Amino acid sequence: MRIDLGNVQGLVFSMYRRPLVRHLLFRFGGREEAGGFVRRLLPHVTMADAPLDAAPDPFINVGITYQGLQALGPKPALLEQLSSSFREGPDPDRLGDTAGSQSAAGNWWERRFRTEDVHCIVHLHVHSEREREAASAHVRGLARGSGMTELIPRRDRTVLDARSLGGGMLHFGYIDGITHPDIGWDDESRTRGQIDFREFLLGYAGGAQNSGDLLRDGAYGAFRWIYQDVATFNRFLHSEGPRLFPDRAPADAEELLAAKMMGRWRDGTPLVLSPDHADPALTRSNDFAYKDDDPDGRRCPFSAHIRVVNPRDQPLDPVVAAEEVPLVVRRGMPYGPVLQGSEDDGRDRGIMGIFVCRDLRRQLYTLTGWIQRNDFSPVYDPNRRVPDALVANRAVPGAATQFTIPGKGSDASVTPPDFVHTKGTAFLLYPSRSTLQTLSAQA
Amino acid sequence: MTVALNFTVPLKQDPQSQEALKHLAASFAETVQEPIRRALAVSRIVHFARLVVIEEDQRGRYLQVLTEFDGDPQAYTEFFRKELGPVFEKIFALAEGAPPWAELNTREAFFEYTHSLNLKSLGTSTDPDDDRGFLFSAYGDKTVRELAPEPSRASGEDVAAAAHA
Repeated sequence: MRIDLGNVQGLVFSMYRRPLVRHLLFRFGGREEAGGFVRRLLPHVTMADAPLDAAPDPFINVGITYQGLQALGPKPALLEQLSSSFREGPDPDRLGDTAGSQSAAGNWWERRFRTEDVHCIVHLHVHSEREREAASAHVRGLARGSGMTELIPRRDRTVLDARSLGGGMLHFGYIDGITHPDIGWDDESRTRGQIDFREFLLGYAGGAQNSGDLLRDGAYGAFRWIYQDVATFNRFLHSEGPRLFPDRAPADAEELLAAKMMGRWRDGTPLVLSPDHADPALTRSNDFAYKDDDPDGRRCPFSAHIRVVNPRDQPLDPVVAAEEVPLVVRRGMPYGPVLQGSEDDGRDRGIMGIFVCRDLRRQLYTLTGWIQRNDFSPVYDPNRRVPDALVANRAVPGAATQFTIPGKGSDASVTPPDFVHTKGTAFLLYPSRSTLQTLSAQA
Repeated sequence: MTVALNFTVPLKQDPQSQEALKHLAASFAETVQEPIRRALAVSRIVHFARLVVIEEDQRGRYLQVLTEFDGDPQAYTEFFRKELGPVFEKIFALAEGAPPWAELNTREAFFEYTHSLNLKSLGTSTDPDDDRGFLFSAYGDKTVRELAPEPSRASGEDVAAAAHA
């Protein structure tokens, strides 16, 4: 079986090579007008069969929340097919966005509106600011004509714009986007090692219960707006790197600590393959594993970010193994200006990402749970609730504060502060073309 | 956080099914208890588990699976579907209104069906997002891994056995 790519939103299928992204958030008005918006937007939505290099700007995709779908008023059968995790919306506890911390849901969207107010997000991927403004004007015009309200998520009245820093770099200085699930979109040509497209598309898995295909070729996505505190991160590397690795020059020690937290050197070189220095020949390498090459974490610490979110061949606890290792498709882009100097400038910067999957519980929540608590493998200390070294919220009750770095003689440990916090999350359905047609026709 | 499930399976009332239930109850210790014990031990997330038959007028009306475990209920049910499929097939063959095993034996269908059988405990959970009712725990949200970090000798053997299964 081969997927009809003309029915799948392009964002689910491909990482667009466009350096600018704008995320426009809307609340629908009346039911018929909402359907009218979907109907008028649909011809402009980029599907997976678009020629990605040759197609003109903009690439437009639309995700709709459960509240948005309710506002569209589809037949109950469609709403009933939605998963309970999607219907319930983002669960801050399961995401690690603990109440009382900076990431608490009450602080999301800079307190300007509630997550339930978000009905849809339109993503505009473009090459230039001129194209971005033109596309924004077009979509906003459609929205205005449909009685929709644009939700402005910042107190300074700016919207969510992300921009590539070049070379796949993120604000913490790491190269991102090296590892992506290799998805086989065609049963006949899928090669060994490729992942079945059913892991990401709705309407195919689960036997009779999911045989209804009102959602077929759609996917769920979690939109996450994550702030990155670059000044704190840089200060931490500067103060703790030389303390932990006194045999190295201070700059090298900082780089090694950065690598120990991620599991790769900042240029992308995997620690497992090159534990002592970055290697230009290995910056894109994915050809490594843990079980035999680094069983004691001396190269890549057990709580390094990439070892937590992608444990590769590391032994798993039996219950985890029964569910299989969760994978998500990541579509992320940094936002905000590069920090100049070492002091925080008060500017908002970080990453806006969409995590695409078929099962928010099994794929997304499992990963966010592992980030908060490394407890999925026998390699982790059962007596400590150890979080991910880089992206955890250490305000989660019971979270261990220390990051352990196994060494040749004895282990070293360091107490990192929080480097990130969540500023907004929405669970979205990226409906197929046919589902969008159904939604617009039923309104 | 520790989760309690109270699966309550309505039982078929025809003579054949009642006879099969009696046979299951009489042979439980010799037949299915050990596979269940082994799977529970290997899981490293289950605190307690037991099966109860509720009788009325000397007829089995309900079979209850009562359990307390750590973590995600769907991960839990998926593990036991894979580990104890034949045991659940036997139990659900006695259940009134259960879909055929061939239909039930998928991740989604098994979870949906088993959780449709779950009875909410009385009262309210300490977690406002959890609607499973009140569960008292003398040791807070400590997990099995934390309470028994070293698998017991028996369960260590079980892990080894499972690894070679």
